[in-house]
Amino acid sequence: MPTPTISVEGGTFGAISITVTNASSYTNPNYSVQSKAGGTVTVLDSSVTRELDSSSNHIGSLLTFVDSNSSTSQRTVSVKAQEFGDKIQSAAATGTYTPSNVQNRYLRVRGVTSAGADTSARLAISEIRFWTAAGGTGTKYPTTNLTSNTSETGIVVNAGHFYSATYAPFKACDSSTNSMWWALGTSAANNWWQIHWESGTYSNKPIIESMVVKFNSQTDASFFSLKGSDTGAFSGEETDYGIFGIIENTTQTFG
Amino acid sequence: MRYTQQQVDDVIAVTGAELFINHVLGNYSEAVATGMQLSHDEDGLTPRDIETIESLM
Repeated sequence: MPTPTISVEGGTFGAISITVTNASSYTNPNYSVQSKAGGTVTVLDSSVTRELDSSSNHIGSLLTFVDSNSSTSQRTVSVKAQEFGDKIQSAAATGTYTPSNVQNRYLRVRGVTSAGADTSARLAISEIRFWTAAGGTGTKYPTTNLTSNTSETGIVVNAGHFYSATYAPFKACDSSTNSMWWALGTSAANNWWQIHWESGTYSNKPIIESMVVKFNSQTDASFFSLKGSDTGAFSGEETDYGIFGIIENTTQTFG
Repeated sequence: MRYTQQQVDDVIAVTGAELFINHVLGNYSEAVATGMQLSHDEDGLTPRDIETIESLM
C-alpha cells in the first residue's frame, strides 16, 4: 500500500485543504485524516469532507475541513490511505499548517474551481457576515441589516456582477434568507462579492476571526476563494486566504 | 441572447402564457426575465430553477 504524498494549503479561519498528489496510485481509496496541536486532537476524521472525482466512481484527491480548535499552535496533520475491501492501511503522510486570521480594508469572495481558478459557475449568497471572534461571535460586519449597498456608515458592499436590482450585493446582508445576491449570467472575471471598511470610519481595520455564510441553492460554484486587499485593486497586491468548500442551503461557519 | 423554442416553452410552462406575453409587450416581469436567463444558460430549467422562478411570482 503506497504511502500518500500530500499538499496542505490554507489556514485562514482554520479552513484547510489537503490534496493527495499521488491519488492515481490507488484504485478505489479512502483516506483517514487527523490533525493534532501538540498532543491534542483538533480535527477528527469524521469532520473531513471528501468529494467524488470527475468519474463519480470513487473518492477524489481533495480533502477539506475546518479546524475550529481555539489553540493557535501549529498543527500536524496525518493522512493514511486504504483501498476499499483491503484490510491494510498505508503508513501516515504528515504535513503542517497554522490557523490565521484576516485583516484588510477589502475582503472579496469569488467563485473558483477546486484548483483555485476563476470560474463563471455563479455564486448566490443568501447571507454573509464577518465576525471579530471565532465561531460567529464578537462584533459582526456589516453590523446592521443593509437596505442598500451603502446604507451602513463606513461599509460599502459591492459585486463584479448582479443579475438585477432584485439581487443587488446588499441582499447578501439584509438578514433575509429569502433574498440573495445573485451573479446569474456572470463571467468568470466578475463572479465576486466584496465588503469594504472605509478608512474614514474605520481607522483601524477590524480583525476578522470567522465568517458565517449561507449560499443559495442557485450557486453553481463548488468552491469560493477569500482574498483581502488594502487598496481594492486586487491586481496582485492582495492576500490570498485560501479556498473553501460550498455547501448550498446550509449556514456555514468558517473559523 | 438567442433562445430555442424549447427554452421559451419551459419558461412559459412555469410563468403561464399571460405573464410571459405581458413581459414581452413591455410590462417587465422579474420571474420571466430570470426564467429566460436560466433557461438560456442551462438549456432548460431544473427543479431548483422552477422553484426560484415561482418565488418571484
